[in-house]
Amino acid sequence: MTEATPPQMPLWAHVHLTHAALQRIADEAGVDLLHIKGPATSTTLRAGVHHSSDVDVLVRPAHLDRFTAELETRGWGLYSGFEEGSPFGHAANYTHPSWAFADVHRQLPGPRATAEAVFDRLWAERTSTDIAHHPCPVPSLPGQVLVQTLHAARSHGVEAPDAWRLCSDEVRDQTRALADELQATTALAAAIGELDQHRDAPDHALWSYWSRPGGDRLDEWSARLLAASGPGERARLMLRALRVNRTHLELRLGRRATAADMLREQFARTRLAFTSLGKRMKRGSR
Amino acid sequence: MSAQYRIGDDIAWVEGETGGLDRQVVWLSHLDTGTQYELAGTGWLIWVLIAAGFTEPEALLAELERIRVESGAGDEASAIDLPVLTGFLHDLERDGVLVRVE
Repeated sequence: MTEATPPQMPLWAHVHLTHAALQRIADEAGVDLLHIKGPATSTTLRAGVHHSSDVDVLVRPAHLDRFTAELETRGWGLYSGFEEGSPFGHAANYTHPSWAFADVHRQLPGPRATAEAVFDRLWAERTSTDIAHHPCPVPSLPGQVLVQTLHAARSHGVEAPDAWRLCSDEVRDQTRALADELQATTALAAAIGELDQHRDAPDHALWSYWSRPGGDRLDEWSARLLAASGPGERARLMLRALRVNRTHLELRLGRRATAADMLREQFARTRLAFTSLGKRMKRGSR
Repeated sequence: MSAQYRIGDDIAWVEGETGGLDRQVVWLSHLDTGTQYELAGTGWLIWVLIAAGFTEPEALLAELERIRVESGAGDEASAIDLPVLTGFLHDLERDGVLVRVE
């Protein structure tokens, strides 16, 4: 009646179990974290059964180093770091032979408030939900709506803002207030079709790029530069724009990248930037 | 008074039904070691009954028999006797997924 390491366990079930495993680590290490997305989202905010492929947790920034050190002590390995993952640099991805992939977030893409302020606000109104029969702290219902809707905002129109669509007017109002407080109004607007009302916002171009289909690398980086909060952030972005992402390159190659691979990719990346710029200039000169 | 069994504190578990599966199955995992198990059919039923509070083997056996008869499977499904059930519970205890409470 029992079978060890069943090969037929579906990924979604593995994800549930992994949420509980990460919570156990957080409890033992004294780390505050919030479970977000997937099974951490109320079923009332889902259009149907949703199967996640990885586990998402948002960690209190001050506890991040302790948590990631604890993960590594317990056999988790870093798959892609914060700077190598998404262009927002918001999450690092960890793997473990026994568990599903874990996305460890230090920030949510969308709010312009500091990571500390975002976590404090979401943590202050947290609730708890059982995942794999273990209590896991999760954002309040408006917090869950905001997280799912901000995720939809950067999907280039692929993911629908189901949580926003399914929640009550009262929760929508609370979500708007939360977004205002966390300076995520533009990102929220991008997901719910109200972006045009925020044309003067500094992050309008950024969310226009992320929420609409299409766009190229130059669009992305132009939008990110426009949204950057100062010269220091702009300089860091410029450097990052042309830097080769070793993890992505190795995934594409299916092997470890050599120095020659990195050099070739660097040239290709620079050439692509100029090609995009050339196309843009031709469009602009018509 | 006979032994009672409860689910270990370091066990996470999820039923197939949670993911919309029309299959009587539960997957368990040790949170500390990551060791995983699958219980299906009668094993699944025993697990959910323990979770529901049927912690003594005799009470568990009585409930299994009641379900077997009431479900109309009385003639087709073979009844489980106490030694078989106890052996199964011992296996789960040995694997560390159940804890025996005297």
